[in-house]
Amino acid sequence: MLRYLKRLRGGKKVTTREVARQRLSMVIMIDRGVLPPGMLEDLQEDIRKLLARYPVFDLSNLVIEMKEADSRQKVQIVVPIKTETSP
Amino acid sequence: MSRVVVFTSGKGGVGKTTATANVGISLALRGKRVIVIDADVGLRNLDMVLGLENRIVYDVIDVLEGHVTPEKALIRDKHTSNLYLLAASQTKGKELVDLEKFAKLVDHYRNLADYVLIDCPAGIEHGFRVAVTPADVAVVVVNPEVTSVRDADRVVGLLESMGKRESYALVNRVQPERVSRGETLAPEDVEDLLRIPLVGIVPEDPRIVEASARGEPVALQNHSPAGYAFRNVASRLEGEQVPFDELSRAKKSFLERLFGR
Repeated sequence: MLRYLKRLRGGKKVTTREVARQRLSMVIMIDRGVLPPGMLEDLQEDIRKLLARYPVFDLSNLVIEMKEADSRQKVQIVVPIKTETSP
Repeated sequence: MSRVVVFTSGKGGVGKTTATANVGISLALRGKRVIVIDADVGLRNLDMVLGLENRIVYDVIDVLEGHVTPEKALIRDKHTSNLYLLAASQTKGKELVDLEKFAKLVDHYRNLADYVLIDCPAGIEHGFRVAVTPADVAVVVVNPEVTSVRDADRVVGLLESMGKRESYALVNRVQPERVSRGETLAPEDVEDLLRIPLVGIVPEDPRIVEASARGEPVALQNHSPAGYAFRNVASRLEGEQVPFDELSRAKKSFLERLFGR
């Protein structure tokens, strides 16, 4: 119930759908030979290390995803800012 | 102009055979002449889904080896008047299927029908190449699950390398309630990830299992959400602009059931 209330007040967790999307977008890029294997983990770790210096960011909901825009592949990084209700 | 459409997926068990049978029936219901070919040699199943298993005399290997004419090997569907099946062989080996001979056979059938639908075997080896080579259009059947989407992406890559320009995604076994709760990939995620347009969104429907058990495809049932979705796939293959309302309708029919309609 508490979790549900938190969710209502904006402390939303990353959904299964988003996690699946993220993982697939990366693995597909590796399968297609666009990204070298292992790069994602390194990138994630580096970004986490950097952002950990700023407590305002909610790293438990960090999203790193491959996107196609203007017919170019891009890495999209979404860093939510902590809300009051977030743990 | 007749069109050859292959139903493929990479991963097994995602509903290729069900999709081939139901889209075939749906096109036939629209008055099109349709030939469906089971290219899953050694694992024949399209006959079961269509309820024609007791009528098979000849199969694809008999035709390729010249024991029977392509016309004589066709089995007429019992539900619709203009659908015909060429069955896969169950015992004769798949190494017997020659890529060029099969392509020639499909070309022969082109002259007899408006649509030739090919049910491709799972995997991406020889059988896949045989089934895909003669096709003008590929329908990639995919479930909203990470394993299925990844395999489908591999297939999309292979289709591109084989020079196939017209490929579509058919997202099968979608659970509308789970999609709206964000618990599973949505059809538009699959479209984004695979980078091919959607041709169908088929909701999970318990009637599918029953329909296969009875050999009466759901496309024949007016009230089945999956049947409705497969008929929409046929309309889109025909070039019609049909809105993607399959999931909202499937949810509605659940509510309707709840209130006894």
